Amino acid sequence: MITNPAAKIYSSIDALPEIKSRKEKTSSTSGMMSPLLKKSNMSSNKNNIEKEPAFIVAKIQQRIKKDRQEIKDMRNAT
Amino acid sequence: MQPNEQSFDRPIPGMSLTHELGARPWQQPADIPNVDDAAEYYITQIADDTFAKNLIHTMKTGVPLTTIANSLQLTGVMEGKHSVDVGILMIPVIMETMMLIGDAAGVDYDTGLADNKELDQNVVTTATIGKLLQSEADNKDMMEPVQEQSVQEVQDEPVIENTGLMSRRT
Repeated sequence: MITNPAAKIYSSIDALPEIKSRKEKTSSTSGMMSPLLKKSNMSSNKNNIEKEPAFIVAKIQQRIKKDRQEIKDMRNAT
Repeated sequence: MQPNEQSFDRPIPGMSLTHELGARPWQQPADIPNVDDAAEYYITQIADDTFAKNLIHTMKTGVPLTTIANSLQLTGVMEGKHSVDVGILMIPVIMETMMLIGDAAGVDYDTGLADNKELDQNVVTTATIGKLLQSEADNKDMMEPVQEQSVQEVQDEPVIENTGLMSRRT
């Protein structure tokens, strides 16, 4: 079987949907009960995903790709 | 190299055991343990003027970017810069950075991604089956005269009668 791991890993990472930067939500609740009312579980799960190496790589790759597209558009415009 | 050719440029089995454990750089803890730092390392290295010039020159010769990216990350592993898994994860970053340099320089480059699309699995399967059938047919052609000859030889062999005291009686 003929395989090209570099092409496969690139295609896999490139096929991922765009990762948008998450807005920092300020806590609307205040008072003594506010720590209990926070959706801490959901945010902690998201934070865990964001710490995954593949996620970090996808984010970096998308950022470079965006810059590349801008350069391409600029070259096409001129 | 053609896809059906067998490569002999490989390590000999047991080659990794010819040195003491820990004597090789990749058997030591990696210099760069995480992907953030590894990405920074590669982007800085690729963005270097000398490297970029050489890279553009290589791109012009038609070497696929997948091959260059794979070689770069493999060198990093061999030098003990990072582990194998970090190296594999670095491939998209390295490729994208190289494409950025190529686009900025206005070079037509080969990404090496088109091969997978063009090389349909059915084509490979058909080719393999065809080759097997061909080799089987060749083998049959080779075998048939040999069989005939061996039968002929058996028929032509003179019957030697056993003589002597220790010979088996029939």
